Amino acid sequence: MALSTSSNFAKPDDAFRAVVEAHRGLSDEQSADLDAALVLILANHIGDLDVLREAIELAKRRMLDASQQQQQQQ
Amino acid sequence: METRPRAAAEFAGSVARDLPHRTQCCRRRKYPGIDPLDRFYGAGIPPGSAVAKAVLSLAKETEFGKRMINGGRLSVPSTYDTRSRPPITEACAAARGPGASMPDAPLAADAGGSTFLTEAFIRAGTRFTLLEFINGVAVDPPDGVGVIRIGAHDGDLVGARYDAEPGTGLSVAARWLCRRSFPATDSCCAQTPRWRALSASTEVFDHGTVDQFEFCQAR
Repeated sequence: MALSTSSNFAKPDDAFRAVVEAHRGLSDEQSADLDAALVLILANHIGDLDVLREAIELAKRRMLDASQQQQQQQ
Repeated sequence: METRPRAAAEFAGSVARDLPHRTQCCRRRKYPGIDPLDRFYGAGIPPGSAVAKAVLSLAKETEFGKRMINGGRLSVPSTYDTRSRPPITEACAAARGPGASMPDAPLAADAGGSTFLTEAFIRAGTRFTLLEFINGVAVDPPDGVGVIRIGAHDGDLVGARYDAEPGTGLSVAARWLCRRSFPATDSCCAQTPRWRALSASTEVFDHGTVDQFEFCQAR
């Protein structure tokens, strides 16, 4: 099964809001801690190593793109 | 300033003691600890909101990222060039400029509970409202102008987010941040002889934004 990047939530904005609200009042460090736990919980729920690897790749590629853009701007 | 009441002195002390990062933050024109939802709606991407930044970057190549973007929530209001309103003091220059969205902050409620600045503004109505940081000088606002008073019991966050400067001088009663929901006419300055605006900007602002005035109470 390939990583699904189509929109799967009936109300995507509600999902986004739920994640943002979970971070309310947290310090940067606490936020990172929450995110780490969230990733592991959701990864376990998915239970598919290939999907997990694809998701990691997508997330990393995005970081790479952002840093390249910053270099171009400078 | 010599006769500043004790409560105000204590407030000044508490801000100085508990917000050592404030000077640094203001110099960098950043606002300490503004968390994503402590703002009015549509207030823009909060500083340090990794989730908002992530969803924007994911939107480039994924459908789910695009669908998660809420234009209203992620939009940033247009702020006005503050050169049209010369800064009065360094403290003012560091505060949010005209047109900016208002950061929210927790306040102490009258009954001893807690509330938020946004809620206080909703209760004060949609008229011209002054946000007063009590610095020892009693304030007598012009007619038709609401006041939200912030004291020591409201905690430090609200002062930090608005860069309130306790005891900012002798003649200046307070620094003001106003929310207006009607076209700006500066009538509150012009029509009340007891008040003279030291500096006021005349642009028309949207609902729920900040404007900055400095008043001097005529003596």
